[in-house]
Amino acid sequence: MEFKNDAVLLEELPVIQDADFHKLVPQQRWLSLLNATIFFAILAIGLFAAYFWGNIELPLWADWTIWGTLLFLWLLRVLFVWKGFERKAYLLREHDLVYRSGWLTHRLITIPFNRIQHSEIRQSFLGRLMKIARLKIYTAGGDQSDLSVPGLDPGKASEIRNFIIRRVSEHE
Amino acid sequence: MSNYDFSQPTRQALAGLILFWFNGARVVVKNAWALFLVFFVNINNERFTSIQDYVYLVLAGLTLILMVHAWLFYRYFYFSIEQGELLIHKGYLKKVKLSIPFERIQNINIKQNLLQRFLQVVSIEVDTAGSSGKELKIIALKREQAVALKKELIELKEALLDTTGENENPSEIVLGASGKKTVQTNSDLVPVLHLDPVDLIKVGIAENHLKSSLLIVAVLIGFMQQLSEVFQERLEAMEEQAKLVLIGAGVQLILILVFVLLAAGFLFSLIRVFLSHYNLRMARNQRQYAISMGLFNKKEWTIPFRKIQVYEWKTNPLRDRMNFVTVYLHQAVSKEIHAQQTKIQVPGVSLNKRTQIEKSLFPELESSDYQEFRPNAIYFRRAWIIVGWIPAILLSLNYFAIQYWAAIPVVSWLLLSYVWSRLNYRKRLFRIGRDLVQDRSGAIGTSWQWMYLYKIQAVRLRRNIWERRRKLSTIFLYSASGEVLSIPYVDSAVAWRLYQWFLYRIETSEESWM
Repeated sequence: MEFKNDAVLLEELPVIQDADFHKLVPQQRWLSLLNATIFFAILAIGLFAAYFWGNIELPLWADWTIWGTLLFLWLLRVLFVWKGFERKAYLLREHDLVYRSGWLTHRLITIPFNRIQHSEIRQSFLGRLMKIARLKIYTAGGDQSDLSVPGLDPGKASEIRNFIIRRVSEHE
Repeated sequence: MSNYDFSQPTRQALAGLILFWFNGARVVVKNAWALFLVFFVNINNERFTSIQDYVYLVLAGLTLILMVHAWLFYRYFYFSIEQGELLIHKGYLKKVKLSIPFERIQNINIKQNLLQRFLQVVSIEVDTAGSSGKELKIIALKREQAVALKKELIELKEALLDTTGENENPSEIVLGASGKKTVQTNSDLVPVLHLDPVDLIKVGIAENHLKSSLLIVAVLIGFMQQLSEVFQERLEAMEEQAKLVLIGAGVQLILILVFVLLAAGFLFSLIRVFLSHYNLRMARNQRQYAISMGLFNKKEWTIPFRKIQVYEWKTNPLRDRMNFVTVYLHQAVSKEIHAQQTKIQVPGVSLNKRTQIEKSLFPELESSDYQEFRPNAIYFRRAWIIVGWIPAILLSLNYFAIQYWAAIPVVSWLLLSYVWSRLNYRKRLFRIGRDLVQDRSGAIGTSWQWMYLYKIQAVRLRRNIWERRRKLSTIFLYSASGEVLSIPYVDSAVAWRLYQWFLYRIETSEESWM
């Protein structure tokens, strides 16, 4: 099953090359790990509080299952964050922005500049401390087709955003 | 030209007074219903008689105040068309001036609810490109006046677009007798489709009754849960009795129950079809559809062809037998506007009407040069494992140890899901034409979604573990209406080329997708 189209020879299309991708800044991995850990820590504190004030009397095996599951999910999350970070990368081309992610499931999303609705740079509190920014690109296609590149140097992020804004306005 | 001069500030129809009064009363009741309840429950209570007169006095006063409010609201509400804008002045305590420049107008819809129908007025809603809450609404106009206003606004908007060079179809603007530019709008509408009650019955018969039945069951369960919270003990006793009766009656009763539910589902489908699609009319001109439908809440839309992001039609064996399909026109979603507005459902479209619609939406449609893509057989296996085996295993873990007859539902579930996955896999098809893509899916029914290539908003490629093992990929194409078309489980090399080709097509397109 070979794809053909007379209007354009596919060999001549610009190709997305793996080697061209830019990796995220290394602090991003630690930020993601920290975020995952904070999430589970809050869960654990909530559970503790429930034990403390809720007068819960559970059999020993139930206690083990609950805490074991929590620990297991946290470790799983850590594994996914750690492995996933290596796959995360972006590529800024002349006409679009490409973002690659996913450890077990590989994902690649591209948004052409002439379909961008709006873009923004976000920085969480921790992100500001660690000097990391996130670039978000919105399309008209709903949440699923929006693109979010974490782990950018703040200067780099606004540089990319300015480039995109310039390119978008050229299309209008 | 029309008989109405909208350049002068115009009030709404006088019949609107009742509407304004009613709306005011509704707000009061909504905020103070608990007080009213207390009053009516205690109306004969002796201790209450001493203050009863005051309550009546307050009620009378409230009614009077609402009447004054309705009158003032009516007096101080003007709309007009001035200097490139639709203007509304309203309010007597807090004066508000709303304006919408013509170029920001997206859609103009005329609607009528039951009370408005009784008063013989309609409301007109002007949607803008901005966020929600900024749209304009005039709720009491005579129908002819609303239609004239809509026509004038559309003409002014298109004339404006024409002078700024943004109009895509300048050929449709013809010179009027006076030499002034006028735009053909609703005047040359050609009817496409009209459903009479007999058609509606047919449409109702061919609905998915299983879905309606399940909906009823869901509602009943929700209702029972609420009841059970109030009448816990009594219900428990009843449940015991019910169990005894059920065991006694056995299969017969269950069959009757299933039959009753299906009949209720059937009735429910029929009623729903009549309520929402009564007197459905669809008409078109060179560039847009005008659609109206509804029994109590009459809805009207005008949809320019270019605003339609995805065209979809669905059928099932019953509809096939009766030779019609249901067509859906998906418009662009702006995140703030309610989801229901973006998808317009037109049932009872016969084969040749469907072809007509397709020809006007996709004029260059040619069936010859399509590239077809089908999923790899793994697609079927994965679907069967997910919908068949995983639930079956979980089910048997629960029951097998206790009751071996549980094997019967487990095995039949596996068979059923096998057939479903198989049908689903067979039906999955993706086609690429010169300018459009088509996505077919379904198991028992069939659904086709068509989209122009230049309407694609973003492209995603996915390789999950199943796909990676066999060098397969799935491509997702996102539309502005929220619909996602996909090419599942195709050879990775082909998918990779398609991915870049889609991007090439989007990035080189000059056409505006909105």
